[in-house]
Amino acid sequence: MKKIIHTRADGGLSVIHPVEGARFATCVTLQSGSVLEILRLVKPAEIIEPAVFEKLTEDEAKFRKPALLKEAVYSKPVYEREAHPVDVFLRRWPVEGAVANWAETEDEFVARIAFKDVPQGIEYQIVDASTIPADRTFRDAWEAGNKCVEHNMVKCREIHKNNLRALRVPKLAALDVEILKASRAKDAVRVAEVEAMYRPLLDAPDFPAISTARTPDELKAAVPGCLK
Amino acid sequence: MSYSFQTFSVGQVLTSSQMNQVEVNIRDHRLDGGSSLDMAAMFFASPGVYIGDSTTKSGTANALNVRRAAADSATIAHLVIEGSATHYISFGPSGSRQNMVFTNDSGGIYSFPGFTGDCIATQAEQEAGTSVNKVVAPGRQQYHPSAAKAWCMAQWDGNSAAGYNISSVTDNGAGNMTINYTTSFSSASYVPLLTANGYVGTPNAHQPMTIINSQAAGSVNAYCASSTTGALQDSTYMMFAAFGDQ
Repeated sequence: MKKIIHTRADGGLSVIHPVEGARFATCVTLQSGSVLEILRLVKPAEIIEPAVFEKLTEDEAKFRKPALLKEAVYSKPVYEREAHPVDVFLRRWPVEGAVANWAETEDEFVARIAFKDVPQGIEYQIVDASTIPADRTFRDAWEAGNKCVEHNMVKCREIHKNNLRALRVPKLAALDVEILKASRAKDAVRVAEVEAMYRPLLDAPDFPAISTARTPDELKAAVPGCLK
Repeated sequence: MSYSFQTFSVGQVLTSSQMNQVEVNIRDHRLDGGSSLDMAAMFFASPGVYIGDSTTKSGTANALNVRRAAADSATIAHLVIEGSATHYISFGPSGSRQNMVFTNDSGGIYSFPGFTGDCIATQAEQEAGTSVNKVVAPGRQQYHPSAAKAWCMAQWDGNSAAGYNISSVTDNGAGNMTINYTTSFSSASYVPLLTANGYVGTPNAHQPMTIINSQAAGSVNAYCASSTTGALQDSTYMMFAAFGDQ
């Protein structure tokens, strides 16, 4: 299923995932072979001769039905299948083994959802699902490219630095305990050792490989040894 | 084999006594010379018509009675109206009759439009939820105030696993999701419920904390955050349901 991307006013990228349960279908066939459908009584006034129907514009033809026999029209009710979001037939979707008879193409469906769910006045793009990164490590650094999602490396580096800061928190806490113990024991040598261990942790966000990383993968690998 | 006949003239009006004696027997005229059997009989008795065999000349007055020999037991009696078109059973005073309509069009679907307004709860009646003498059709049960109007299970990246009445899920960033409805609520006053499945985050796994950030008639914006740091982070799944008036 294609996705819809747009940039919000705050600069963040939103990715809209259309949910197939909202796609219009005319019926659903269950694994058992049963067909679920919703029928609508066609009013005789909607039914016109095929030759007349052919001459109608698309808008005029929308509410008319061609090629129904007159005797069928006047002797018994005529029904047609109504199109509804597919989850209306079952009150959920998907259902294992169930097959929908779609009333709109995937492109039509995604375009309809874009019209409905993208905030008004915002430009958007419809993109292939394959262009959305599967790795969400740097999700808040995503930006709209040309029919794709790209990473803003400046934002990625900030996210990565924050991740390293979070990683070092328990290690710093452990060192705090160690230095307290050494101080109380008046062990100056141990105090100096522990103080030396602080330095690489404090410098971790400035690890050189972070600034030289060119891709998100290179950035993820830029972790100083003290945090591995 | 013997028969007795009484002949009536065309247009002759029968007396009450004569009506009670009219009996039409349809017999099995078997060619093998065996004894004939009563196959069916129609009795005209004032007031009423009885269809059955010769032992069932009774029933409800002013009625068309279809009975079998053991009419009050499990023996089956059928009243068959056969044909390819629409069939009506009408009742009520002349001029204001109500019709039960049976059709077998469109692949064997039978409808009872005469009952739609009377016995089946309408959407409005289901929404009111007060009637105790109406039945609810499966296609309208979800209109009751107690029913969830929308629900879904989705990953925090926006990919939905299953749901109902959800048109799309918008991934706004880590731990930030908007759920959009196919059919909106009638106002922003409704109850969305949200929870997360799984721990949040990298690099340290924390307990998730879910928050409804904002809600509108057509959508709800939800957050998932680390209960330790408060930072927005993805969990594994988002579980969502919403209750209210559409």
